[in-house]
Amino acid sequence: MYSTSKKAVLLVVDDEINFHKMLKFAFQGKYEIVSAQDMSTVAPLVKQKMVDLILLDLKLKKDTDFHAGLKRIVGLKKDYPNIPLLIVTNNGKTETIVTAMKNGADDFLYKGDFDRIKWQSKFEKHLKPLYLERENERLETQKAQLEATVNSLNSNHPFLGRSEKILKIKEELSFVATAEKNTTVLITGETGVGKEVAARYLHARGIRSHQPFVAVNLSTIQSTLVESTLFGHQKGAFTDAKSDRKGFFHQAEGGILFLDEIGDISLGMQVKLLRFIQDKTFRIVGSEKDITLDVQIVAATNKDLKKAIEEGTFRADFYQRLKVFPVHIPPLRKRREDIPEMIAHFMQIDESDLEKQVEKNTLYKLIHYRWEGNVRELKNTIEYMTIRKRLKKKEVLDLECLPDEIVQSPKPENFSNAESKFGALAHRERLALVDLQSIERTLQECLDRKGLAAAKLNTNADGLRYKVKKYYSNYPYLFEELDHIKRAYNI
Amino acid sequence: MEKDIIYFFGNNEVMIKKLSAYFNKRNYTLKKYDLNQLDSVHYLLLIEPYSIQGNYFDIHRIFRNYFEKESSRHSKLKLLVAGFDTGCDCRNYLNLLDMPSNIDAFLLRAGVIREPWKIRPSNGDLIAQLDKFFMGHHRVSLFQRLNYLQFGITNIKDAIEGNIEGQNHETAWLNAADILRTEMDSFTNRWRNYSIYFECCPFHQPMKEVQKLMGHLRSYIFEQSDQSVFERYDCPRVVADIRKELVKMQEYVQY
Repeated sequence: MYSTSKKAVLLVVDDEINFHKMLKFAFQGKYEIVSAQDMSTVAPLVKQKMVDLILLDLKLKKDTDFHAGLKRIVGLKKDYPNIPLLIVTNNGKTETIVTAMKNGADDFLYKGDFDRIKWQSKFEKHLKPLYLERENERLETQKAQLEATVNSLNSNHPFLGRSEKILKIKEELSFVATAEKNTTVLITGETGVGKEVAARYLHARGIRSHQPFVAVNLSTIQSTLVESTLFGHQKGAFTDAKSDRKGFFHQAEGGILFLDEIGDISLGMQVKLLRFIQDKTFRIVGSEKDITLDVQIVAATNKDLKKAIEEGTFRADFYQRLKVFPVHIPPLRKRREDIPEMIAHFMQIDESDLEKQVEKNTLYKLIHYRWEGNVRELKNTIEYMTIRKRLKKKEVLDLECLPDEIVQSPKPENFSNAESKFGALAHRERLALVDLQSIERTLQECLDRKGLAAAKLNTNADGLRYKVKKYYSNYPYLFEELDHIKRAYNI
Repeated sequence: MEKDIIYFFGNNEVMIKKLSAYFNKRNYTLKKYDLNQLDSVHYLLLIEPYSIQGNYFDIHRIFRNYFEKESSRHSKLKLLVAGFDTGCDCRNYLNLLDMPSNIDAFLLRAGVIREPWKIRPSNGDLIAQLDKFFMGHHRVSLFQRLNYLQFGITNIKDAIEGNIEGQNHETAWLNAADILRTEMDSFTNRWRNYSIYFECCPFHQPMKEVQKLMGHLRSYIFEQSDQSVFERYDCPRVVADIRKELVKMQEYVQY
């Protein structure tokens, strides 16, 4: 029997109840046997049970001969052309069987020849196309699930942050995503700030969102193989080229090719990429034919490219072409107000529950740490702390869960005014202020339209009003500079 | 195989006596044909009508079917029929109301089993009666009964051999017991009701074989329904053999 998670359903149409009983026993565990003792129950059963094969007794109780049975075959095949129909008979004569087959029966079985293995092999023969179809469906489902998982993974790494700096970047990325599909984007920023996340954010919002997003970290590819990896190669183009192979450009056709660590490639390769950016053409390694593909380039680097130009390791013309639309993502220490949201996200909890899940001093330490590895380091730290919490059987994340380097880290100096103010507030108030600042900014963007602002903040107008009023009743002093909120909610 | 012996089969004693006297007078001996032996003979005289429980039947059709199918063993056989159909002019028909004066010429003229000769029916139709045995009054054929015996027995065999997930002899027996008992009873009843008709048929032997096999099956189904009996009698083979014998018998019950 073909492997399939669901058992095939066999509908047995026979007035002999013993026949049903015997078949059910013989094929238990192999098939689901569904019984119909007359034709009246066939249609509902086929629909309800998703029948895969019908076994029809050629002569039911009221029949005086085989004519009625032969007519039934025509009717069943008309109603269910895709369901294999096997006739069963006690003693059908050859000419009757031949007529039955002419009328559309797919096969026949003599009750007198009952042999479980033989019958099963006949069922399997006719169920084979069904199993293939089902296997195909299973693979399709698996594929869809994998795609969903990939999407979910992507959505698990959303472009987090409600700081002014990040909101501005999101706005710019959304604009460029929809405005011009071939604009080359250069994303810069320290390692771990989320350059690829920003690129995916752009992809998800653009007209290429249904096309591929292919991310390549150029620093991980051996320099001699960068060209063939990106553009592909023909068989025999070099020693190890045993067959034709398409490169990442082909994989990204119609979509976005994200080239991370663009500052690490050779000058020669820069020329070839420059050519592609200019006229959308390139050559497969070993080929003399130009290929044109529709691919948007989004590049990223943590290097200072201007300095690299001065040092002669990066081409000025390539840089000019890359930075048609430059985006700089600031380090996390420059936007500490984004940290609580990120912690909540990595802990997979609601931000409003943060104070219940993270002890006050621990949260303070997390917010004020330098985070030289930025968001990536924060994420890893939270994962580490979550494991420590489980190991130590703690109810909340506390100082004991923190890595030593964070516990021992000195209080940063030269805080900005905002940071100082933020640091001076009590834990609960800090969270409230971050939230209120976000609401204030959103209202400003939405020209004080509360409904629109609520939607942008993933809530509804009533929910937002309730939140604001609650904050006001607890921390009225935080509202001093929040003019949009005060105006919108008559505070 | 003596040419001066006329074998006969019939149960009308008066006619047998009359025919015996007739043949003796003409230097022939009339001798009863043994259906258990079915020896090769030159002449077999069927005396019609054959009486079964007060009903009168033609039996020559069944005999002819049998000997035709077995003609290699009975190639020289001349099947003769004695009866009261005065209008029958078949060369193998002996009109009891108008016996031939020259029996030698009659015997010489009569056709052997493979030659075309036909006797019109003049009594009850034994083939129709036996057809009822096989096909049933309500069109539930004997083979249909046998099919359910086979279903039940095959399931038990498969369960014993571990071919049915989680089942064994006991569970399979419990599942099939009612069906086996009902069908075996129906099968046996029909057999008993019709066995008298088989006594005047040349396929006595397969009939006896079926009777013996049925006994084995009944022992398992009604007396000792355990695995050792099932295996000792090899019940699946018993059902298969019953079917084989019945199919053989049914081949003779044709027009």
